[in-house]
Amino acid sequence: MEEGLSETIEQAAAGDVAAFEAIYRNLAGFVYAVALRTTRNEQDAQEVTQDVFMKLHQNLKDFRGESSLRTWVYRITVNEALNACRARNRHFRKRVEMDEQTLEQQVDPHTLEAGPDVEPGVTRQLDKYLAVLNPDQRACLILRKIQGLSYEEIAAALNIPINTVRSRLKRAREALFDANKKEQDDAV
Amino acid sequence: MQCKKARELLGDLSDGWPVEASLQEELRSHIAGCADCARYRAQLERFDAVFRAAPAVIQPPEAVWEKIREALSPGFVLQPQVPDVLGWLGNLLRQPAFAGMIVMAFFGFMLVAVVTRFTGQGGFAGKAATNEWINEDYATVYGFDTALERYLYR
Repeated sequence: MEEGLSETIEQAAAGDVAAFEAIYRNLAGFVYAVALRTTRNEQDAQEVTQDVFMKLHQNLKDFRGESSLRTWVYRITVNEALNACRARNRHFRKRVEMDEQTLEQQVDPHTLEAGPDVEPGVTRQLDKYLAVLNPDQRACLILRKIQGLSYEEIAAALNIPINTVRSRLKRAREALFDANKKEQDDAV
Repeated sequence: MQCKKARELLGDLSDGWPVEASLQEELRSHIAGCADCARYRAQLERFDAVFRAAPAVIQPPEAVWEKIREALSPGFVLQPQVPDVLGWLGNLLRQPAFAGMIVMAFFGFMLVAVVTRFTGQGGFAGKAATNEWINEDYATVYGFDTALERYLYR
């Protein structure tokens, strides 16, 4: 994709739908994966994916390809996904007075789809882990552990300092250990 | 090395944050003699195994691209998604001329009703008041049903 990227972007910006579809086919997989993991809701993830590509299309003329297209798309994807989480949480807050953790655990009524060749046990476990994190921690963890972005890339995508990335990852880890301990205590 | 520091370093290593070689060596010696920190590291590895197994790419349903392509087609105007609860009646009411007529008819009816109420003439109230077949006296003597029957079959 990176090879000939500028040309494809120019064609898409000029109204070539086939060129834009090529960009979509290349990027949609990771956009949807990040959106799905962050929102933990398939409908929200589909809407986020749609919004990301509409924004990408609107900004194609300004995009020169000098900076990494992926970083730009990651940023928009995470922003849209976090907005979707906030909107959903506001919706729940209007309905019931609950603490943040309980809200997060109730966001997803469905089992998340994992993609091909992934054991259902892994998907359930992953969903359980993601459920105990707040959306900001979740986004950091997904970008680092699943998408494999560097600290610098995460900081650029989320528009936060590198040390904030580090502290969010640390808090996410602590939250995972706390939840794990609570589960073990409950099991006894 | 304290357990707290050891776990912090284990977390940093797990997250890919750079840790000095000398500290890593110190950490190894600590874990070799600390069962709690060894368990902590094992749990950390279990967390990481789940994240590593998760796919970085999941293809969205084809309907997502269809919607985008539709939105990109010439002449397409993005409309807010409002449920059409009223159907054809809703469409009719959204026509300014029709809505205006409805409003004018309502106020006209209200005006006539108020005028006839105060004057006692014309309109429905006036007709009822002057109708000899269904007046109050007749209904009192013969009963309302009889008065109504007589009015209907007169």
